[in-house]
Formats: sequence, C-alpha cells, structure tokens
Amino acid sequence: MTKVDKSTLEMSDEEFLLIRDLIFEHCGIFMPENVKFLLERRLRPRLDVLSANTFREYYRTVKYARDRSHELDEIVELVTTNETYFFREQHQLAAFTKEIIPSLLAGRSPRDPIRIWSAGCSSGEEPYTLAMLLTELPLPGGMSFEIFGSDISRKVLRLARAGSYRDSSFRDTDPSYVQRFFTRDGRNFQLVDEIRNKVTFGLLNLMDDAALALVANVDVVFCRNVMIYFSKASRARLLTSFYRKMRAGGYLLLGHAESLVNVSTDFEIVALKNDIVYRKPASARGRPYPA
Amino acid sequence: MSVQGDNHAGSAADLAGEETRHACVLALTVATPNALVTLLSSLGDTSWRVRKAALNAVERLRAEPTLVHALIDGLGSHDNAGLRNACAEALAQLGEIAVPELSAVLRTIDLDQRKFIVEVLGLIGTRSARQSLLGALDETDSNVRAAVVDALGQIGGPEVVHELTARLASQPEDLQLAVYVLDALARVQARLPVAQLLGWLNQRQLARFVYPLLGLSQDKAAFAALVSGATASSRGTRRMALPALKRLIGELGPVYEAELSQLLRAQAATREALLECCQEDDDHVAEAAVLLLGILGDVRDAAAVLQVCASRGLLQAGMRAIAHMGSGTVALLLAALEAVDTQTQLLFLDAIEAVGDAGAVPELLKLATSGNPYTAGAAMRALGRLAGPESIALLMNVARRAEPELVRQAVFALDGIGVRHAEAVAHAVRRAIEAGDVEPAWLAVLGSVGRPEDVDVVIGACRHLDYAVRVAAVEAAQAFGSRVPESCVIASLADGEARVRAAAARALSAYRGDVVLAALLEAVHDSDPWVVAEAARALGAVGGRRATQALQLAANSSVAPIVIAALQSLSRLEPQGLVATLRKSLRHADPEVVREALGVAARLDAGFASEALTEGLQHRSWDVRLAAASLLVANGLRVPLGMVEGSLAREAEPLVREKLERLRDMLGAST
Repeated sequence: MTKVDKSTLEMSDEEFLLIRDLIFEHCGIFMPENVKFLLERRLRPRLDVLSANTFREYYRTVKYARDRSHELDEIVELVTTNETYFFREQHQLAAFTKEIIPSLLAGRSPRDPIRIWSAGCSSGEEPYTLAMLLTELPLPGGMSFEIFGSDISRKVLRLARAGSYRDSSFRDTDPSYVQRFFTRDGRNFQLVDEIRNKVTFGLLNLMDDAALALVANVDVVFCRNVMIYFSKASRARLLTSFYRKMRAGGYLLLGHAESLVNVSTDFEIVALKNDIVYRKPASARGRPYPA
Repeated sequence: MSVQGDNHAGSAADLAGEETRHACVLALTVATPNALVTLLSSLGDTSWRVRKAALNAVERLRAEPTLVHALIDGLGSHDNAGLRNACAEALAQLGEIAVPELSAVLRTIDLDQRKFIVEVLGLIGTRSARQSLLGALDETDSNVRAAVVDALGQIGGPEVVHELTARLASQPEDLQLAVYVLDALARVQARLPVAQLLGWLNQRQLARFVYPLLGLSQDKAAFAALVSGATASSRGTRRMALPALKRLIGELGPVYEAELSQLLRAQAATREALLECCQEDDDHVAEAAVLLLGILGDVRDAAAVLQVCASRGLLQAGMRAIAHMGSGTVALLLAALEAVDTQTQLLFLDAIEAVGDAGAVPELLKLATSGNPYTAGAAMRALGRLAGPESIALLMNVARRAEPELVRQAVFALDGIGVRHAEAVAHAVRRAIEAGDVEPAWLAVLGSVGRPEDVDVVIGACRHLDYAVRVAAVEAAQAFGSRVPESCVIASLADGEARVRAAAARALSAYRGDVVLAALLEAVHDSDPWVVAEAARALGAVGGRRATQALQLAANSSVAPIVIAALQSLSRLEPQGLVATLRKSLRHADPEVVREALGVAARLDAGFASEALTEGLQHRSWDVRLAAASLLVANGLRVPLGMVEGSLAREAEPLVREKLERLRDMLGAST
C-alpha cells in the first residue's frame, strides 16, 4: 500500500476553524488566524499517528475519539510556547510582598499557611520568583506558605520542575538573586533545591472543573498574561472558578494589560500603593457562588 | 406618520420602564395595533436591548405594507442618531424588498436622508441596489456623490469597475471624486492599466490611493513605482507601497523575483528602510518588509527577520524569507540560537529544517538530547529531513528513553531518514528487534520504510504480548498491504484490544475475496464503534452485494463515525437505494454526517444534488452551509439566484459568505 505523502498537505481555512473550535471548547484558548500556518506544519506528523490522510479526517478522528482531551492537549503543546521570566512586573511583586502578604498575615494563625496559586505558570519562573521573595521576607514565627504552579502543558511543567534556566529568563532579575539562588550549569542556571522544594506543580486545564476541584482556599491567585488567550466567555468562566477557589479577602493579580472590565463584577478593585489589584470581597464569606 | 425627533411618541410603552418596553417589542406582530409606531419608537429607544429586540421584530413585520416607508421616514430623524442607525440597519436587513422604495426616493428626499439611503443600498448590495446606485452617480451634491461611490465600492462587480473607471477618466479635475473612486476601485479589486495609474501617482493627494491599485495590476511594470514607494524616506508612503508590492509579488508568482531583487538593490538604503518597516505596528507592512528582505537575500538579516516574525506571529512570512535567503543562513541561525527565547528558537529550527543541509546535523543532535522538550522536538524534525545514518543510533536511544511526545518525534525523524537511507534504518531497527528490543516505534519505522524482507518481523509482532506493539505491528502490516497474509490480519480482528481490531479492519481494505468479506461482515457488529467504522470503510474497498447491504444498515447508525464511513463506502459502490439512504443522513443530528452526505449527493444526478445542496444552504451549522455552497460552485449546479441572495443577506460567517458570493456571481453571469 502506498503511503500518502503529507509533507505538503495544506490545511484549509475551514479545517483550521473546526480544529480551532475544538481547542477552544477544550481549554478556552482562542487561536488567532496567524497560528494556522504553525498548526498546519506541526500537525502534519500527527495525521500519520492517527491514520488520517487529510486534516478533515484528523478533525473527525479527534472529534469522535473517546479520549479526545489527550489529542487536544497534544495540539495545545504543539502550538503554545509561552515563555516568561523571573521578577516580571516588579511593581506588582512589590505590592505582593509589601502590602498583600502583610495584610494576609494580620491576625492569622501560624497553623494556617498562606496559599498561593500561579495559574498558567508556564516554565515556572513566576512561582519560583514568589518563593524567592517569600524566603527573604521576615515571616512571623511558624508561619509558612504553599505555592502551587499549574499549566496545561506537560512540556513547560517538565521545564519548571527541572528548574534549569537560560539567560533569557533573567532579563529583569537583580544579579543578587541569581547569585544567591542559582548555580551555574554549563550554559544554564540551576535553581537551588531550597527554592525548588517550596513550589509544587500540577497539570491543570483551567476549563476543566473536575480537575480544578483539587484546588481550594487560595489566598492569592497570580494569573498573569493567561487570559489574553481566552475569549470573553472563557475569561468569565475562569474568573468564576477563581472566585470559588479563593478565600474571602483573597487577592487576584492579573497581567498589566488585563482587567476584569466587562467580564466580572465579583471582585473588588483595591488601589494599593504599588499597584491596583483585585480582591474577593471579605464579605463574600458564605455568599452563594455566582452563576 | 412621523417619528422624527421623538423617541417614543405614540407608543403605549412610552412611560413604562425598560423591561416593559422590551416585553412590548418582543410581543410585536403584524396584528399588534399601531405596530409600526411601536416599532419605530423602539428602534430609537435609549436602551440597546430594546433597539436590538426591535431589529429582530422587523423580520416579523415584513408583511406590513408601509414598513419600508416608515423606516425611510426614521432615517430623517435629526436628533436621534440611534433611531437613524437602527432604521438603516433594519432596511439593510430587509434587503431586496426595500430597494424599489429606496430607489424611488433617492432623488427626491432631502440631502441628509439621501446619504443614508445610499449607504443602505450599498449594504443591501443586490443587483437592483447596484443599478440604483449606478444611476445616482450623476448626483449633483458632492457629498452624496462620494457616498454613492463609496457604496458601489462595497458592492463591486464588472459594471461598477467600468462605470467608476469611466468617471475617473471623464472628470480628472475633481480630486475629491478621484479619491473616492480610487479607494472604491481598490476595494473591488479592480485591475487598471499601470500607465494610467502612474499618471495619478504624480498627484500627491492621490498617490496613497494609487499604490493599492498598482498592487492589483498584475503587471510587472508596476514594480519600479512600488519599489520606489516601499523604500521612500516617507514612512506614510512606505506603509502604502509595501503591502501593495507584496500583493503584486503574490499575484505574479516567483518568476519575477530576480528582477525585483535587482530593483531593490538599485535603491539606496533599501535594507535599512525595510528593517525599519519590520517594526511598524501594522502587521501587513511588517510582513511585506520581511518578504522583501528575503528577496533582497542578505543572510545577515536572517536572525533579525525571524525574531521579528516570531514575536509578531508572522511565521509563514519568516519561513518564506529564509527560503529566499537560502542555506547560507543556517550557520548564522545556529550561532544565534542560544541568545533567543524558545518561541524564536523553534522558528529558527523550522527554518533550518527547511533550508539546511547535513552541516547542521551535529548541532541538531546536541539539541535533540537537550533538556528542553520544545527545542529537542524541533531539532528532531530537522534531523528527519537533514540527517543521515550517523544519527540513527542516537534517535533510537531517544525513542527508547524519552517522554512519549519526543519518542514520536524520534520515530518521525527515523522515518524521514528512512526515506533517504531505507536500508540503514531498517537494518538498525531489525537488529534491535532480533535482540529482543521490541518497541512499538520500531514497528512503525519498519512499516514506514516498507522493505519486503521485514514482513516476517511484522507478522511475528502481531502476536506480541504488549498490545501497543500489536497495534503498531498491524498498522505496519497495513503499510505492507497484501504482502502480509490475510490470515494474520484477520486473526487480529479477534484481539481483545479494540485498537488492534480497528487497525486490523483498516488493514483489510488492501485485501479482496470471500474470506476477507466474511471477516469484515462480522467486524461491522463489533462492540467498539471505531472497529465498526473501519470495517465499514474496508467493506467499501471490498465491494459486492453483501457488503452493500451491511453498509446500508451501518448508514442508519446513530454513531456519526460509523455513518460517515458507511457513506464514504457507499459512494464508491453507488448502489440502488443510495438516494434514500442519503435522505436519511441529510437529516442526521451531527453536522459532520450531513456534510459527508452532501458530498456524496453532489456526485449523483443534478436534480437530487441541487435539492440536497439547496437545503444544505439553510443548515444551522456554518460548516454544512459552506460545504453546500462550495459544492454548488464546484459542480456548476443551478439554484434560484434569489434564494442565494437571501442566504447571503442572512449569512454571518465570512467563509460561507465568500462562497455564496462566488455562487451568486456564477449564477448571475449565466443568466
């Protein structure tokens, strides 16, 4: 039997839209049209894996597969590489250490750790930055913190767990942090175990309610530059999830280009000295979850 | 009746709250007393919800004889812009039925309203609307005349191009008209003689409108002017000329690229100007600059160009630019790889894969075993295209030990090498299998390389204890076709693992004969729907009366993949009763089934095909509507033009609209 050569197979606009809708339904990520070329290039080898001769056949195979989420995760892996860097958005981090953490510590029992969730943590720079900052902070005796980083990509989580970074991850990092928390490993910088062990990572699709059930009582959610890839409806759904997972009085920190305008009114805006952030109202305790 | 300047005059809902007004509009029908008065007041309501509901109500009031008149009246509101806009939208929504009355008042109504009527006719865009607007080209008021030209630019068509071009030639002194006409001509993608365009290019006020038309000219005589514009010192000129030049290159094809390259080199500071344009906010400008840098061919720009492309998502443009620059870029890209982020590294590696040679292999092998799964995967893709036998051992190691997604990349790379060095790859894999190292990946490679002497290995692996190996073996057997004994594949139909059975059913499509037929007829009753679907597909290849009967039963399934496979097979066999089967499938709940059925129907007799496809144009799923419109165009089938225009007026999905427009033009041209 002759094998069909797919090296130049083109994806039609229609096929792109259909696959895009499947991905959107799966994880809320909206792929702009300029991703089509990349999707076409990267998915061609997948056609052989799934015994499909055209992108249409591939679409149907994914659509009707029993465990289609597996293949959709693969697609997301193939077309997303959202790198980040340490100490991104310094003013927000200043608000976190100088204002948010002190307010959370007030009257808190040492047996009740501060829980921080880095939602869409990519290769781990964000949660590790928070761990470094909290390590330096003089916390009251016995007080501890838990940092959880989540992402939909297995590949980035593997990078995050390895804790090995290249120069480009340090574009906004004070050299003193590199000196204190990293060791040189050839071309890379290896994060010391003291910080690595303070962060746990998990694979999580933010649109998967069942998987989100594992997260609860969060004091601070960092979700920076993640919602920009989501549609308005997905953003609203995600914010509802955050609201449910957060403690009353907990803080939500978004990227500088993101806001809740026209998406959610459940959070209140708090103008701190270093930044403007969102907070789940303290009065929300016991309040029914928004629809 | 007049509603001008009075939001709610005469409406029973005047004094009520928004909710009441909203409810009042929702209940509007032709039978409602003072229906039009309520409609008009609601179209001008302060609440967008009420206005939106009122626009929906317009559809329900279509039968009201004075509806169009009332809406035209609403266009005259001087102090309620919301009402004016809603009336314009409602008239456009009514479409063709509003055209006679709009055309009748076009020359008599006051100037302000006249402009709105022109805009509405442009939005309606039917043949009669176009005729009416063409008749208004002699309008004495210059603003209304400009609006007429603008509206014609929205509709397009050969007649519009002809009339507008003639107007431009006959009134060259009217610069305002010229600006609107040139803009409209560009929007309708008109092709004008370059000599004529160059004449207008000398007039400073018109130059920016001329560049897009030069880009549409399909004439290499436009190159010089466009290159000059693309490298001009004025940013504004470059922004207009660059996308036009890109368009022209796209339309003329690569034949003229050498000539263009010479022209680019002849200009001073071309490279600097283009590199600067890569930073422009407008992606079209940046993309054109990237393309021209590629044609200019200076390999020193390769890394910079790809960095721009990675950060802006202009991946295709970046790849094309590197393809132009050639293999001289590879060493430079490899040298710059370490300094860029992962996203850009991936694009670098994609480019190296496209233009590289064996010289890049040592560096790619290092990347393939680096800790970064992204770059490792991309490096292996490139190795598949560039590497030779020296990389086989390393890739086999990756395939044994790496994470699943990298294992697959390693297998693809081995496949790729196998295309050029089949003997070496198959030998290495076979040696591993004979040494007891049996991986599913090895079977996939053997299947892909396809050497006859490896058939026995594949047959043996079909009975392996590991089901993943068995799946890979049966899939490899499929690649070998009937060289693997049918008994081996048929035996796999009884496997406990559904994926093995599905692979076996698929592989049986390469075989013929009663034994195979009997096995497949049994497989269509499998408990797993994928096995059934694969068996149905294979039955189409085997054929015969019993296969047809089984397929007609399978086509009645509620499970979409089974019906789709059955329809595909039946379309090969074209048995009696196919039309009846298709009629059922066309009503299936799953749009994918309906789409498949339309594809089969289009190949049958023209009467049934037209009927099915016409119905398909009304389907709730855009994808089905797109298929119906595409098939009508592709098969040159005739359907009523008015129906197509109606579909076009309702259609929101751009892809479907595009096809419907082609269908409309096709039907219009033949009447």
